[in-house]
Amino acid sequence: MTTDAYFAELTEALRAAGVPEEQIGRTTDELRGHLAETGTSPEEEFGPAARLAEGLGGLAPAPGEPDGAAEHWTWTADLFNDRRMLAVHGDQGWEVESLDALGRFVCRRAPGVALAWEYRREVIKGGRRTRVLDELEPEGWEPCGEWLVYGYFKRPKAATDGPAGARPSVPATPGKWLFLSRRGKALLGAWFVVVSLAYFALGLPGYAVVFIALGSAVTAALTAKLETDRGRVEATRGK
Amino acid sequence: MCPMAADRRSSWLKGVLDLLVLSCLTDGESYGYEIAKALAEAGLGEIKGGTLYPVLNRLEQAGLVEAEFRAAERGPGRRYYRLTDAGRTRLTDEGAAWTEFHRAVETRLHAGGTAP
Repeated sequence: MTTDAYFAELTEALRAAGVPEEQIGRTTDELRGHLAETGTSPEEEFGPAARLAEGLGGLAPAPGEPDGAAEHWTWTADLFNDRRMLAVHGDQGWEVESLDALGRFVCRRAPGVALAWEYRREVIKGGRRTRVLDELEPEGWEPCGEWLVYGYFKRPKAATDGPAGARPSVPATPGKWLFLSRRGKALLGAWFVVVSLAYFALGLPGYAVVFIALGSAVTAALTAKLETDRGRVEATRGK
Repeated sequence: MCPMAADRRSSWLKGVLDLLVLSCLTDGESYGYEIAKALAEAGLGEIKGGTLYPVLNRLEQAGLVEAEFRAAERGPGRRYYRLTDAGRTRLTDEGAAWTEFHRAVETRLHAGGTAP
């Protein structure tokens, strides 16, 4: 990214955060002056423009300070539904801070004008991590959690949408925390039947546990393989 | 510096960077690059612009520093920051609190057998 493109992105993101034009001009002049002295590139010195804009727009809490005014919400979805629900909730200003040990999305939403977020999921195991990070970080994507073979990445929509990336009014925190797709529900139902049959037919809970573990491993491996294959095909097409 | 040491330093700095930036202005005004250089020379490691300017922005919003942009004869202008009275008071109060905390850490570490 050129220095001008970086500052254009930063300007848009600051506008989206409601920073006055005059202050934006002052800030970008100051940062350009800083670069003239360090001789570094803007990304190297300031990080992704969208993230810097958060710090300069007053939306990010001060490091180490309590973040009492922000809303917090934890939820989850199955692998067929997670990307769709991330898009919906990201659009409502929810920022994923991490994935907890159960694979749930731990989110916060800034008070005042919330930023909308976009997300993507990538397979990062099997030696793909470095390549995926190298491809996504220059575009402003930041890792926000990992689950099984997947890495989740976030980016404020202001990075691509400009002022349209801000949400002055957002819906209340959802009461639900579990978002299953139809396929997820069907699989869960089928799985419950198989486990019940195994339990009653074999009579030993140990067998049921083996079935559950085996089935989960096969499902995860199959899904990961499909995703990896698709990634390979897309990478080959891109060449 | 190895990445682990850099992470550790960055984590320690989080609680005290605002104060350190304020302390760079006690002898008079200064600007971003010069502040970063002063902190690096003091042995606090390299503070990138992406970390420093949000701090300066926050301090200005809080009225602890005030800033003035001045055009330069050659090259881009600079924004000079100086301490306000509120900033000076904050630095004195919080500086004393930090020193007290630092002393408690030091006492505990030495009591735990760590060499000074």
